[in-house]
Amino acid sequence: MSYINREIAVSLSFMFFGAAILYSVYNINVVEGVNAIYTHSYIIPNFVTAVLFDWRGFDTLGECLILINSVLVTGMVFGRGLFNSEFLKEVYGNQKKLNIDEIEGFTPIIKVLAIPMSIILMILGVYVILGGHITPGGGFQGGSLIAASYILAIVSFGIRNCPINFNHKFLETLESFGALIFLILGLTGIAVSGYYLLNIHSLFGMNVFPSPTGLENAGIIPYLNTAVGLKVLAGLSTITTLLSSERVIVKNISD
Amino acid sequence: MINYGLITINTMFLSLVGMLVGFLLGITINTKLNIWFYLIVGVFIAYMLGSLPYYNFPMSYSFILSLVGLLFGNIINKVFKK
Repeated sequence: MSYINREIAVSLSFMFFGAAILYSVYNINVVEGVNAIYTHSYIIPNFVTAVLFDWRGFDTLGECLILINSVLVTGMVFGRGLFNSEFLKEVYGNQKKLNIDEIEGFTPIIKVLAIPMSIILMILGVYVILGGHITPGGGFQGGSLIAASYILAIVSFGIRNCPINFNHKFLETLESFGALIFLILGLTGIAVSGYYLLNIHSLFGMNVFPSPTGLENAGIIPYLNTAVGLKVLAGLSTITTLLSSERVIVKNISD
Repeated sequence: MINYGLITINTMFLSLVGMLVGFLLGITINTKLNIWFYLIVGVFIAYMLGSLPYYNFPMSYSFILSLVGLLFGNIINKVFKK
């Protein structure tokens, strides 16, 4: 009986929300509000990026710091600075001891395909980062794509034999440089106009980011995109490395 | 005559940034990459992607130059490892 009641509830809610969505789509109507400011004060063709990096640059900086925090927390729980090993002992303590050298990994088919796919995915990530100010995409998406290529390589080859060697120092450098470039670009805004993260279009009569005709107002947005891309790539890759290093975790627990 | 588009510093700067990022990623790849394979596949994909808006190129130069940067980084990595 309760099963039927649940079915009826699901059907009713589905109908209600479906009707509400259809009704709102039918009556969709653009009200001249904030969007009028964006469309009349032309910054760059991609309005989402204009909002993310120009109008709300501070907000994006905060989002980047959230990512840094998440990496720090993952490092504290799973990395070398183990914060509370009781939880990990419960999860990993009762496992049979695996000899990692004996694990052969995936079949050659996957191994052969994984590397070209990783490389192409990596370059696609760079392309998405670069086109962030004119096409849908940007630093977050491109960085995630590059991290996905790294994850693909790790899944296929394992962390020990992974052909893409994002070592600790490299990731740390990328993460630091990404955040530092963002902050320094914000400071140039203060130096030029007195506002933090102000989009400077030209400096000493030269375009900040040399672009073709029609894109002169891009300003510092492509640089910010690149910085965020490097940061996201480093952050996600660090989390992946930490979570996939089971051997390190088991070793740390036993110490 | 093939039209390669207007190649100036204004139009190629984005691709050069891509080359730099590609180089950064390329020096982390340990395995040896088959350069001709990646160049041919890269040109095909770049042609299918098309150039970015406002950049009137026959194909995506930023994709190709990023790939070139990555392959170059890989070669440098191999040379220094030896």
